[in-house]
Amino acid sequence: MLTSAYLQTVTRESQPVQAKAPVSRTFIIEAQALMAKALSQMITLDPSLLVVGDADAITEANVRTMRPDFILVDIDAGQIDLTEAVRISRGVLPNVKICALSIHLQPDVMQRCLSAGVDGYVVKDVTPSELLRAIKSVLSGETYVDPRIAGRLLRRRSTNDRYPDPNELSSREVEVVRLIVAGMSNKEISATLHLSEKTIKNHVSRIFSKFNCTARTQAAVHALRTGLA
Amino acid sequence: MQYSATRGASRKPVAVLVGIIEPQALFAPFLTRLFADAGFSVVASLESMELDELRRKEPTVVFVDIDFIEFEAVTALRQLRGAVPNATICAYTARTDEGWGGVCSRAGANCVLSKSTTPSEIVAGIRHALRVGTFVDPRFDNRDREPSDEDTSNGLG
Repeated sequence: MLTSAYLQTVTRESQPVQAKAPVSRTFIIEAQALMAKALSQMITLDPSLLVVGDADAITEANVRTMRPDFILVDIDAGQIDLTEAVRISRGVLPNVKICALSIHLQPDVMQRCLSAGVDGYVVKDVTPSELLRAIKSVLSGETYVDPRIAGRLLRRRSTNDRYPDPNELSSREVEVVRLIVAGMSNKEISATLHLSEKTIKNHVSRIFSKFNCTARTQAAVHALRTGLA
Repeated sequence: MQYSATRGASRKPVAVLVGIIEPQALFAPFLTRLFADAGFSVVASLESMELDELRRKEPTVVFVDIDFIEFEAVTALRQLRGAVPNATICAYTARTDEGWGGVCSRAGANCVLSKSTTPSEIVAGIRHALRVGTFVDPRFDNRDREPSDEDTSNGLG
């Protein structure tokens, strides 16, 4: 049985309450009811943050009502148009800070969010303390991006397109990994791509090697998280 | 006190062992706490479809977020049904389109819960499924339909 030691480290009682500390009003945009509650609990662990409410979408009315200093937007669930959400929010509160929350580790997704005008991008596999650090960083006027994605972007730029990344998949390998994600066996992939099963096996081995993994599930997870599938 | 399910004619209480598959790692601890508070024992909390681990843990209930797992939902539910045939499989999804609840049920889910459900509704839905064998959130349009091509897209798009 799992213990909840992890949770015990973030219990509200563990944080001293400073009555006169300035608080930043936080508004959560989250379509999943349970997740909204979870985020609210995590954020209120920090005495300098006050959750003023949650909703499943940003509207001019709810921004006016909540008057947040900070908006955390889960972009995965629901039909969030982030550009429009930022426009609405800043139309009411020009200085409001906005941070996107997502499961995606894809640089392209993060770039789209930053282009939409958000101040931060946090991936959902961080710990609650990292989430709080990201929020405070954004509130202090900095831009927060997940360091893993930022590193990948920098590496991509530093190669300057002249030297292909040896770990980058070929177009055929991308096709194969997408079919792995679709749950296909080597035999099924070979039939779909009209290649021999041995060739597919070789492609799969190279994919494993480039992803530094040993199982199809791990390869599929990696492909999804990095935006290949 | 631990929640107990009764099976068949026997009234002997059975501990409810829960396996969680939630790729949104930030939220997994809250699911663990929710189930622990309900008296269930969480025996596995996984970020992906680790079927061997699930088989080993023999959970009574598998709670799976089918929107974010690495396989499309219908395939994933079929795989889970094959891996843990006696478990009550609970699919957790943001999709509420027509017939989606029925598609999940026929793919192997005993319990289908919308992500609009509150924590107490999640627990109540699972308890209902444990008691009578099935529960589909009333938020779904439960009319039957066959899985379409659209159902084989994962929720990560």
